[in-house]
Amino acid sequence: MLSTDKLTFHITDLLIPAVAVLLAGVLMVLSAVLPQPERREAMITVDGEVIAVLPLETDADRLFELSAGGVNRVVVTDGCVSVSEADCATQVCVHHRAISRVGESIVCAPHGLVVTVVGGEAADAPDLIAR
Amino acid sequence: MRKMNVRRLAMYGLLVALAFVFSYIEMLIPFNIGIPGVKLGLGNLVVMVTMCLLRRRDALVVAVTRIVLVGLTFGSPSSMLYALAGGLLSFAVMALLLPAKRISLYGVSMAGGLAHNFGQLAVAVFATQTVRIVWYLPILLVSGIVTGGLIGLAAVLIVRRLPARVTQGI
Ligand SMILES: [Zn+2]
Repeated sequence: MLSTDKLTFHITDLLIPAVAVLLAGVLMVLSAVLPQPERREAMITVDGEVIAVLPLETDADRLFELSAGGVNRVVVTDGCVSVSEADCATQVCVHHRAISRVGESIVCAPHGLVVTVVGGEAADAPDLIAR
Repeated sequence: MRKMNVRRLAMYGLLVALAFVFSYIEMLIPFNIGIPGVKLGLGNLVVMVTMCLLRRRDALVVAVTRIVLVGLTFGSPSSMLYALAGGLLSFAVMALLLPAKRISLYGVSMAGGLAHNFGQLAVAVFATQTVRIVWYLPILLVSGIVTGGLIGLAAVLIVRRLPARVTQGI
């Protein structure tokens, strides 16, 4: 049976989140420092569905007219991708700086459009939700 | 074959059923909307309480049975794999920490929640061969700490209130 000591919070319990934060920090620094894959692509999704994949090594200028209404212009220059123009109300996506590192993304929430930089041979996003 | 303790067998049935129902409830409440991997971990609550009331290996039985049952009923082979990775890592960490001095159920539970999230993330990195998923870490970290703390509180309340006779002869 359990000692009652187990049923009251101890200040030392905070060691656990502290260790976890430290571990996560190390992992994130590692992933940022690790060399980026040579081939990178901008994956553009609307409501989770991939509508285009643009390699970052070639400059591009694409206008996406979304079937649900709305326009986003996605531009690739010098290995970076950005949203140069959109008719959304917030304009958050347009003001977002250009991105180039794997894992970075630009979100246009009103249009449900997401631009994400992925490593070459774009891996499918995993279904992280285990039930 | 040794004779199986009937009370224990009945208790397994109860606990697995409870964990199963909790997993189902968790799917119904929109707590995890939008953010992958973030969930309350009600199934883990049952595993933790089992660990406190019975033996640790009983908690392992409940944990694995729950994941397999939930996976077969609502999931896919891949979702079961994610759940197993999270569930087993979470169990291992909690089983290790439970006897630790100066660590209460709050700490054990937070460690379990965090281990669950780390385990799932590790499988995701391995399965997709991409490290970009590491960007989920801050969310998984915060959610692991918050939900782990809440589940710890729930476990404390349950263990305090359960009469000792519930586990007599098991
Ligand atoms: Zn926008």
